[in-house]
Formats: sequence, structure tokens, C-alpha cells
Amino acid sequence: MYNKLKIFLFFCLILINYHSISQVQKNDSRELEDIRLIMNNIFKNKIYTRNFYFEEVTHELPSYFTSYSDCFKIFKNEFLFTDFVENKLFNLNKKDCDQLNYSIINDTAKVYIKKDWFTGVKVKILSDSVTQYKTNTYTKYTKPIFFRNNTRCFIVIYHSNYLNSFFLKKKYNNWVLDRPFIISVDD
Amino acid sequence: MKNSISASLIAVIVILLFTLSCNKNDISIVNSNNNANKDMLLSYLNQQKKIDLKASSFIDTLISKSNWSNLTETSISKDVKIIYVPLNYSRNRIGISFLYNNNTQSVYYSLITETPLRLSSISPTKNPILNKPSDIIIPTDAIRPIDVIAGFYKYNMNGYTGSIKAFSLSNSFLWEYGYQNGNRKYERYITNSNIVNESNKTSPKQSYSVSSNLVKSSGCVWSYLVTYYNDGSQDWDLIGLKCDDGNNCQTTIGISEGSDIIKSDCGGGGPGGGGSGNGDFDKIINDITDPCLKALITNLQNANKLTNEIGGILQNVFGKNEKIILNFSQDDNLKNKEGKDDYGKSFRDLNGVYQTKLNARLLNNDFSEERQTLTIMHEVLHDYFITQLNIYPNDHTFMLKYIYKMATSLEDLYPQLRQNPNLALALVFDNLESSVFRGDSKNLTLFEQTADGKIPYDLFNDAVGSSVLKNISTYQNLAGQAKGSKSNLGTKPCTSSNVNNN
Repeated sequence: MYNKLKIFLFFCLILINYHSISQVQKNDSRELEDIRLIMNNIFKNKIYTRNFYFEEVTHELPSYFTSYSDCFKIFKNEFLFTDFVENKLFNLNKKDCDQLNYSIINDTAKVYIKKDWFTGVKVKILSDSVTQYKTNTYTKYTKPIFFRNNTRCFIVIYHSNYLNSFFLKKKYNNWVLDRPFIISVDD
Repeated sequence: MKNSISASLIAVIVILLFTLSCNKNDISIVNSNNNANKDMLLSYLNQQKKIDLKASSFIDTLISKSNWSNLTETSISKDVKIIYVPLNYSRNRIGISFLYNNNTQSVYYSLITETPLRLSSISPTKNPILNKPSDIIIPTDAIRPIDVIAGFYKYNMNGYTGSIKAFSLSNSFLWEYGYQNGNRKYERYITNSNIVNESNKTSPKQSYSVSSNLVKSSGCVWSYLVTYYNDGSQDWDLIGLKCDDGNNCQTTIGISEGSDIIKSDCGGGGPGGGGSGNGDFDKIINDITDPCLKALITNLQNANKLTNEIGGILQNVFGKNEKIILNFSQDDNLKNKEGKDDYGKSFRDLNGVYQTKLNARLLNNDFSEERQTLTIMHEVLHDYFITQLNIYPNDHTFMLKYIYKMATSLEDLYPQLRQNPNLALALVFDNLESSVFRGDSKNLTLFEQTADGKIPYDLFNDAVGSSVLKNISTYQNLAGQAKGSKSNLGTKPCTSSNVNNN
């Protein structure tokens, strides 16, 4: 009886763990699906980012999204930005800010950009040797940070001469521009 | 035998029926597409009537004159197409050109365009329609207006000789460009002035500048149709005068059945005199501490909006709008992302305020007042572009459309520049030169060069080449005479004592 109880509990634990893992994977895959959708919309000019993506061009992308720690060094040094705070202009409440700030601090895992994400767009994924040593030769994209139940996200796109950051929102299962955040042009 | 004949007949009938049904489908698809386009365009035009109530009556006229059955469309890029609807006017070929975004599936811009029926010709060495070298001269009526307009938006006129004229949906003249063998020969705009200009009309046109028999008159606005020729000369044709009518009316040109008409465009800005004059200086904050640089910004802030278009942008976009604040501040250690010294930088900060930072130390050390003013204008345009959503393909390339506005605005602030033909324009090209792509342009397409926000080298070269200056070394030599802080023709940056004395 006791052994049967142990076996029963053991299988319950396995099931619970399996369910948790699969839920995480489901969340991950949903997030990846949104990332794929956002990147496609950006490169098809369906999300206005102040860059115009021409069909004729093969767009060069790094093999993974740029980390927020690199990007936010620029934010801090050039724009005196440290973290998100409640702000009506950008429609941010406390919970939004907590989520955003937490995601930025914990943005440690690499998320790889895949060529097969893009349909109808010519893309070339650059090798690490290029992205590590020729950092000013390609446009950098941060991984979209999702918040407010995955209905909004934040993204930064920058190159050596400009920086564009935006809030996007989900509308009818598609991602569109919500409002710009910091926009900068160097001369 | 009978069976085989019957079988053959049946086969023929089936084939005929199939073919006819396919044709019907084709026609119905075409009709359906045209009807869908018509509905969409009518919806857009009705929306414009609500947005611009003054234009409502004229848009109704346009709708009544639209030849929907001859609607055509052509692609500019994968993302954008032009839809052209001819208008039944008894004159040159006029139509409404709609710019349609395939991704958002909506019209984002429209204008009335006119191309001449006569006088157009094609160089025997190029066939613009087929875009191949050809010795065949195409009849003028085979030059479709839509192809000319598409060429304009693709920055490639393919050997076109003729003009393109544009009007707004409120029937106000926008611009006109003239071409010969695909090269631009002239540009034409309406300019308003509160001073009388006596243009030097002795031919041949030699001078870039307008003769300075100026008579000041307060309370009146003179409107001129100004033609800028690529040899540097200008024609100023007076088209109207409005004095103290208090209704903010300006003279413009509109289309009518027979020919263009001169008309009033009321509510379009009106005479403004000097300065913003509306007490909204607090919407433009000048926090520059260097007195010399501070004074240059104040000059632009106080410029006559009618004669200084960049000053007008500064005052109208930032000076009047309570929700948009522009702050000029000083950073004498300003660097770009690569850590190199920078003269200026513009951005929208985390509070939604538009910021322009200027390196006064570097500007005063390197540049004359005139050249510093161009840096200020350059940054103001960046701030302006950040407020807009249709910058194509990037800020600096889009700035090529403003080179003549920058040159005339600079001459407005420094009239002595007019004594040296083309000097202001040379300084403008010098200002934009640092924004040109510097990498290996041979292996990259024009579009690839725009990726880092720079002007493609070939586009910049074309802009210089089609101007009176013709080539880069010419403008560099000329600009060098007025660019530096100790140059012969430039105004030396002021010192603190000079500012106090002024």
C-alpha cells in the first residue's frame, strides 16, 4: 500500500513537472511567435520605425538580438535614462515599469534571429566574427520586451548614427506602432 | 465518322465556352478591381473633405470630373504604388495621383498632377516606357502621365523632356519641375514676401541672386512665382498682393478649365512680419550659454517666416504648438556613438521634449557664423523630421529636398551672401557632406547605403551635379571661402564683447 502510494505520488510529481515545463515552452513559443511577427512587420514596413526597408535590399542582421545592457549604456550616457517610471506620455503604469525594468535587468539569455522567420524579405544573418569585431557596420535590434499581458512591447533599433526606440501594441492579433520613445540622430 | 465529327464539335464548343468564361472572369476581375479602387479612392476623398473643409467644394468638382474608367496604377516599389485617375479638363493632361501603401492597404498621400500634352519628347537614345536604349521616338500621347509621375518618385526620369506640375486637393499650387532628357532644368515654387523684389530680368539669366532694389512695406504680402534654373538664375514673377486684409489670405495659383488661375488661399498662414510674434517663445527654449551661438539661434527664431522657410518651420512647428517643446542646449564635449567630436545632435527625449545639443566650442572654433547657422538649420530639420512620419528613406537623404530652402533661408539672414553667386548653396552642400555614406559604395546599392542613416554617395553626387555648382570640387572650393571661422567671405564668430556692443 505504502509502495503504491509512493509510486502514485512519484507519477503525480512527474506530471506536474511536465505540465510546468510544457507551459513554459508554450509561453516561450508564443513569445517567439510574436517576435517573429514583429520582425516581419518591421521589415515589411508595416510598423513604422523611421527606417524604410526596401524589397531590393538583402538586410543584414546579427545572429542574435543585442542585449539591453549594451543598449542601455547609450540610454544612460546620452539621455540620462536609468529605468522606466510611471508616465502618462508613454502610457506606463507601475506594473508595466516593474515588468520592463525586470526584463531589462534579466536580459541575459541570447535569443537567436532565424532566417526562416522572414517571409518575402531578403535577410542575411551575419557571423559572430563580424558582429563581434565590426560593431558599427550593422543595425542592431533588441529583443522585444513584452508586458501588459503580451499586448504591448518595447524595442530599440540603432546604428552608429541613430537610435530609435518604440512601444508597440497588439491590435487585432497584429503588432503596430503605439508610440515612439527616444528618437535620436547623430551628425 | 459522324461520331468523330460530333466529338470534335463538342470539344470545340467546350473549348469556346471555357475561353469565353475565362474572358468574362478576366473582365469581371478587372472591373471588380477598378470598382474596388474607385470605392477606396472615393472614400479617401470624402475623408479629405472632412479634414479640409475649405477644399470640400473643389474635391466635389474633382470627383465629378474624374474619369474612373481610365484609372491606371503602377508600382513604385514593392510597398508603394501610384493610382492615377485622369480628370476631364480641357487642357493638358491632368489627373489625381494617389500614393498607396500596399502594406497598410491605404492611400497616404494625394496630389493633382499635370503633364503637358505637347512639347514632351524623348531623347532618341532612350525609351522611358520600356527603359531600354532605343532609336524609336515614342509619340507624345504614348507617354503616360502615370509613368512620368512614377519616374519622379523613383528619382529616375528616364530621359523625359517636359514638366510636372502639382497642386493640392484644395487647388493650391505646390511645385513644378522641368526636365530635359531626364535632367532637371528648373524648379518652381510660390514664395511670399513682405518686401518688393525687383528681379533682374535682363537675359541671358546670369545671376543666382535677385537684384536688391528693395522697398519695405508693412502690412502687405507680395506673392511671387519663383523659378530656380539649374544655371543658378531665378525668375521672380509677381502673382499677387494682399494688404492688411486680416483674413490670413495669400495669393496662390489653382487649376481651372482653361488655364491656371490666380486665386486666394485663405487661412494658410498669412502675413507674419518678423519673429513668431505670438508670445510662444517658451515653446522654443534657448538654453545655450555661449552668447554668440545663442544669438544665432535667436536670429533664426526671429526670422521672417515668409522669407525664411527654415525659420518658418522652427516657429510654426515648435513655436506655436503647446504640446511640442524644442530645447536648444550646449554641450561642448558632444560626441557621437563612435566617440568622435560632434557639432550637433537632435533627439526626442524620454519626456517627449525635442532636444538639440550644440557644441559651441567646436562650432565657434571651426565655422563662420553662416556655416554655424547651417548646422542649426540642419538640426532644426532633424527635430522637424522626428515629428513627421513620412521620411523616406532616412533623415539625411530626405534633407536633400531642402537644399534650396536652406540656401535661401541662409541668404535671408545674411544678404551679403548674395553678392557671391551660389555661395549659400555651396555652404549647404558642405553642411550635408558629412552626412554622405563613406564606405565602399561601389559594392552596395543605393538602398543599402541608407541603412546607417547616411545619404547614398550617388544621390548626393546627382544633387550636386544637377545644381549650378555641377561638381563636388566646385562647391568645396567655393564653400571654403566662407566656411571657416577665419575665412575671407564668412562672418567671424562674435566674441562676448561684440555681442554686448550689439
